[in-house]
Amino acid sequence: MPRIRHPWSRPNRRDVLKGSAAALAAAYGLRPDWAVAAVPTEFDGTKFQLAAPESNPKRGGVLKYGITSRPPHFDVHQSGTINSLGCQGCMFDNLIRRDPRDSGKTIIPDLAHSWKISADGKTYTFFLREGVQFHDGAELTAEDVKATFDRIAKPPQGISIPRSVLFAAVSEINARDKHTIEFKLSQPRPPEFIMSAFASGWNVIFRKKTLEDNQQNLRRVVDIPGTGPYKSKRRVENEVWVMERNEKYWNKGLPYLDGIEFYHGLPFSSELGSAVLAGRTDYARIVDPITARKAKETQGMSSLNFYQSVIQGCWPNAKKKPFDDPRVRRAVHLVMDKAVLVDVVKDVAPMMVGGFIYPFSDFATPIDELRKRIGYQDDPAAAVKEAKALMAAAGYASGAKDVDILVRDVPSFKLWGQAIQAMLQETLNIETKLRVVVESVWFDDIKSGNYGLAIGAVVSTLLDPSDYFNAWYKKDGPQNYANWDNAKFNELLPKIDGEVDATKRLAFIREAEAIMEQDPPVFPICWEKINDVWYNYVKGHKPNDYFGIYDVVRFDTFWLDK
Amino acid sequence: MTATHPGNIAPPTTFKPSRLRRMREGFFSFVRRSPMSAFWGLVAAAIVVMAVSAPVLAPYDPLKSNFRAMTKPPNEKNWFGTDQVGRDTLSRVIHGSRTSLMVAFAAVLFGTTLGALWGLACGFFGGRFDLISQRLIEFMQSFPDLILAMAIAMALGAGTWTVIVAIAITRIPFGGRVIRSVVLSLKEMQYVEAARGIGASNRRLMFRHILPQCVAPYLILATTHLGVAIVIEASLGFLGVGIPPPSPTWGNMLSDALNSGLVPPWWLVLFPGLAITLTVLAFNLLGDGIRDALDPRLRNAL
Amino acid sequence: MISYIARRLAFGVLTIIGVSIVVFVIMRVLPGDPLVALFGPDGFTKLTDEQRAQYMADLGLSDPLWKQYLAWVADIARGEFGRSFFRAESVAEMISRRAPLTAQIAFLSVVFSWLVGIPVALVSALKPNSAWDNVTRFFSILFLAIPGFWFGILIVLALLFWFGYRAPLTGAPFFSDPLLNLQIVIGPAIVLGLGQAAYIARMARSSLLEVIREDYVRTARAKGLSSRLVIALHALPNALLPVITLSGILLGFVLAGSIPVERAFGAPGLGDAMFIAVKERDVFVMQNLVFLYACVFVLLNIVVDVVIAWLDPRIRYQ
Repeated sequence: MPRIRHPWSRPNRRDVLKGSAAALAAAYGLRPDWAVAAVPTEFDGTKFQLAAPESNPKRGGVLKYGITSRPPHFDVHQSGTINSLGCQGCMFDNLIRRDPRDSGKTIIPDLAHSWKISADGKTYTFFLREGVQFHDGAELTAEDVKATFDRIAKPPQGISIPRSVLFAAVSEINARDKHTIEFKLSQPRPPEFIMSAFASGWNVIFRKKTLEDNQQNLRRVVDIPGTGPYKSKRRVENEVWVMERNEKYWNKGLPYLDGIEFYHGLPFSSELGSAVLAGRTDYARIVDPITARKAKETQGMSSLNFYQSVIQGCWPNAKKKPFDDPRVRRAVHLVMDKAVLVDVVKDVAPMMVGGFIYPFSDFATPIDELRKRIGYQDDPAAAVKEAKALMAAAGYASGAKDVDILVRDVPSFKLWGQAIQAMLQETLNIETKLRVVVESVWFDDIKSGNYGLAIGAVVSTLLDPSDYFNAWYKKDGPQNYANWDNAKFNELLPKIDGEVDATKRLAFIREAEAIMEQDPPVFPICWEKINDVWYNYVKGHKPNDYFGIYDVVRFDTFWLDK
Repeated sequence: MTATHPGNIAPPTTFKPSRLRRMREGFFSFVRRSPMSAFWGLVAAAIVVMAVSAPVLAPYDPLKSNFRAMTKPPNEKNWFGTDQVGRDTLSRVIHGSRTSLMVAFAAVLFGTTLGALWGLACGFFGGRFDLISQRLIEFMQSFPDLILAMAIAMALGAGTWTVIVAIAITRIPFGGRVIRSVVLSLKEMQYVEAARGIGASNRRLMFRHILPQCVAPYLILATTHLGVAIVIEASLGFLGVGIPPPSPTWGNMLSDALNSGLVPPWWLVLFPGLAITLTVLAFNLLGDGIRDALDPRLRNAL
Repeated sequence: MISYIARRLAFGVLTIIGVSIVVFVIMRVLPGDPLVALFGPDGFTKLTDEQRAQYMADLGLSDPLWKQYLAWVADIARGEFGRSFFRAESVAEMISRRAPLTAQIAFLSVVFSWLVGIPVALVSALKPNSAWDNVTRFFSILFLAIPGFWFGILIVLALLFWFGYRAPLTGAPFFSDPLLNLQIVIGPAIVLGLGQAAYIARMARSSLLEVIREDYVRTARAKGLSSRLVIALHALPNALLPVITLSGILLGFVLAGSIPVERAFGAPGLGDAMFIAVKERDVFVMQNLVFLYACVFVLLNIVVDVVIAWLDPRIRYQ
């Protein structure tokens, strides 16, 4: 019997039944790659006006929105989880932002109505709107923007901001006048990269005074004054955060809603799904595939899944036997059957297969090409054969013993832990022991090197490799859990960061990918996707083509057709 | 709450018929008196047999994944379907009985039994030893059982023995209290007084007169605790501090299925849940039967 | 009597002090780094060793244990129970909001256990070993055997798929919104109540059988009350005393049982808070909640003991 292969990204049952290749292609990553629209070097947005994509938006109503757990703290900049941004994003504005009407593909004005990038690519100037007020009544000035980005780019002692790496090239931030702010770079970077960094949903503008009053640390400040379309009204920890409309919002006519209620449900529990299906919420994000399927079948409801900026990976401890040997690492990378691992969690979370680079992005090897590569092929026989040869060459012909797999206590990770354990045993005779631990223990053990393999996930801010290559793969990068250190890669990385020519840059990136295939810094299990579910009367949003859930979190164009 | 007070009847001082015959008669009268309990006793025995002979009974290796058949509903090859990693659910339920019952029996052995022996000593010796012991037992009882088990399991880190220890500790005070009160009331009884009066030694008193009378309440308590231990094991799994994967226990099978999204595959939720329910039910009804058969006061009342 | 109560209370206080020490020690030996909670995974991995030491010192986590313990005791004495790294509100605020819901669940569950357990006991005691006896006892024990969280999730899913219903997502005090409040507490209360019903039935049955044999019931029978039911009803009030004390003890167990059951229903009570704290290894919430549960449990035990002593003078002088 020929082996039944699982598709690269799991199609839902209906698609398979239809046998519709088009449906498959449309829903599962075989579409044209996700690309950022080119950013104009000069943009005059004095007349730009954002409104809902529909022609007849209605005012009023309160949106009930279901999202995962409550924020761990309130300093959005210091956070790395959607639990923060998901509900706090609507309280703030950015300098520039991603357009909510085209799933965030285009960069549009926000607090800065216009911008100018100098010809040498080293000076970015933004022109701020006048008369914008923070929720506490103070007027927004260039000093606030400067204070915000000073803290993000070079966090003071005790502050840790995951996005600092994006601004590594920024050498100076000047408030040229009350409404003009200028960023100077030590060396040019691709403008798409820098502008994407400014437009990231994370990099919202705080008030200078708020930062000063709290010694630069806003972790405990529940109601941070922003300029955003909504204000915090009432909050019940772990249950709900109620937002009300900012009547003084600078963008005339927005927002349409009177308020939003963010309900928190534990991830992987039945709460988010059952709440939206029972009509307790109007919109739910990060729901499980079964809820999504159910919603699709329900009249008046819609559901979609889209890309997310998270890699699910298994990190080898490159400082410990047997994974100190690149050949062993490559062997394990080869025998991890990625399509099967996507299928293992098919009822828990949507995922797609990929390598070391966002599989749907322009930077990655196109998917049909990747499928021909060993380790990603439909038939694993060749990969297993090569892996065995590699193990033999590394002196592990008869396998290995006592490998400790550190697994975070999350349903999908636990399933993967058991599946990977079985795969390693079956193909390479590597005997492993699973150790399921909570988050704080996982990171503690990662830090102290107390693991053989570690299953977890990391998030990036941008689609651009310059972001996550530095964080995940660079020597001493903050998420380089494996302590991977490859000289060739380290040499290549500055070239990727600094190359402005797109074609040359892509060649460097592919070169880096080839290095990682031979000497893996992590074993990619798969890349996350997100399910959103909503009632059709929720309008003004277009989640079908998002990259990640972190860039379009403002809710200003949302409206209720009731 | 399961304390029994063997009332005021005098136990036989001599055993005329052979022990074996007495046991056989007792067994038949038990079956006659409460056929239901006997039936559930049989079920309990069957479950124990299943646990002991799991490797023979299970059609597949419970840890063996078949990546070509993941999350398959029940079919002719896998009667109870397969789980998300392609393992046979029936084999896992059968092997799960091993771990679950092992945990339950070990917890009862180290918890209820130790507690009972402690209670026996307390009741028998009395005095300062009893006083201090009582305060200790009361102290151990100042935590609700699940909370204490949870805290211990967390502190010791995940593992089978951790779970056993955690559950066993919560069982000690029950055994201690119940058996102590039985011993105390026995000591007051005339035949024990009489035996002491005619110069019976401590050892003789203990083994001849008091110990046999403690067997019934102990058995009742032990059967109930077997059920309680199985439920606590499952709850610890649900709370994420139970026995770690991949070894199957009913508790972690159930909690893994229940924590995986909105609607877990029904066969992964149903079968381990039924296994727990059936086992706890069997032990409890058996315990009830033993109570009715052995508690003399109730017997008289019938 | 008063001296008995005083003795019990004094010992209760000692127990609680002991409990607080045990809880504190257990929570301090838990593995894991508390700074992960504070800085998040991203921030945590970036801290240097010196920074880590500095933060641990700032938070008082590198103080000697006895000092940390005293600080906690001082927090409790101030009625604050301290703050969690994970939370914006103090643990005391969380408790004052969520404890009423859990108390309601516990209380209602006792009501349910009586509603089910007492009729079962009546049937059993009147016709011991009859078919009815067996059937009703079987069902009461069945609910004891079903894991509560499993049962709870099955109920939630059944309501969702058959009736498109789900309980509200946030709690409310009974007096401000009784309807919403009841929707939240009723599910966990039924599941926990059914779980206790078997114990209630068992205790009530043996207690009834005992009372039925007593003299005054014989008198009642002699007076011409021939119906067994009438006799049973006559005997019931006297038979209920041990059942009441049992319920007091069970109430404490319900508090623990409510952890998985509240989670299954997603009911925002203390049990749910405990579940989340365990998942996050939020030492500060766990420490305070375990301590609180133990205090309630100790208090309940004292009340039960005092009630028993009040009913039975012999115990007082032991």
